[in-house]
Amino acid sequence: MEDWRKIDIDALDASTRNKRLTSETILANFINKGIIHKYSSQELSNLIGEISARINKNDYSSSILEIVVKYPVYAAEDSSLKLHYVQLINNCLVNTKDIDPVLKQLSDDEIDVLLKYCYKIMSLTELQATGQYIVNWVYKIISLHGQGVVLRYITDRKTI
Amino acid sequence: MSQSLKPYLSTVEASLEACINLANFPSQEVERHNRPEVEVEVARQSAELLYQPIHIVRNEFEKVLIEPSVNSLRMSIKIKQSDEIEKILVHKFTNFLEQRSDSFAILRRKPISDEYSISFLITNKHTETMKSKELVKFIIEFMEEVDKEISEMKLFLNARARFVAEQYLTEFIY
Repeated sequence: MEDWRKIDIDALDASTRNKRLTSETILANFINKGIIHKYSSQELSNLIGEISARINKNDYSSSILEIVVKYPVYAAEDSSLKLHYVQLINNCLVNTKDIDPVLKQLSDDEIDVLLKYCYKIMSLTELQATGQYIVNWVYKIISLHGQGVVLRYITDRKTI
Repeated sequence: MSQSLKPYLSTVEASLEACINLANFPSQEVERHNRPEVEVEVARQSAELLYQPIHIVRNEFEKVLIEPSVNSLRMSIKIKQSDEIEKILVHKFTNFLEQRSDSFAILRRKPISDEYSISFLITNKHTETMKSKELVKFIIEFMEEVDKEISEMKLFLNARARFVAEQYLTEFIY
């Protein structure tokens, strides 16, 4: 071989040193092992339909209590559909006037899921105009449950 | 502190306090190196060392991004800039601080992107020599003060501009 100097020997190294863990591999692993359910477009459309129906009836808090925190969408086939779903959740959160009674009905695990959605919503540029309401949710969650929820959020690998 | 600002700042404070648990962690890539894992270039980052980034957004003009990792944490702030004058003032102000970041310990020399005005980088070395509660307090105080400072500077600037214009234009009155 003429260009033996150009062989990247690090690429041939069998040790784990060169196999970096990425968030994609973590997610794929979770899906393969069945820890995370990957929502098909059909299933997600059903959830969206359910939430939209409740929004049309001006019933915001029940969709948070009964759908959002019960069925966390960690992975979905269609990312644009997932974005639409998150937008609907934003709509519910912004329009819920009384936050405290909703939070009191949620269990610890459900609070964790809700916080994940809150942080997700704030990271999307198209939903940042109503950020003040979401900040209020996070503020209430932290004052009720302490900093542990934030710590669980940053270390949890099941992300939305 | 105004009533609407309180939830925002307390959320930032609680999130920062949760993220500031930093430990010494030598590089996995290069022996005898020790670098802040958030600052490692994307292609060489390992997901197990980075935690979920936290966005805290009040509106499009005021937001905070916290990127925690095992041995370091990077925090970027977008300072409120409602008009052209404030944009210039914020730029000058942050530039002034950044040029002196050596004596500022936790200040980053550049913000991570154009989206943010200023960034801080806290490593385990800082938390070992300084109280982490106080560090968080300092950042929150900075966020509170910087808005006031910028609006004050804007008022001074306007007053001075008016005075200068008046003085200049009186020359032309006969």
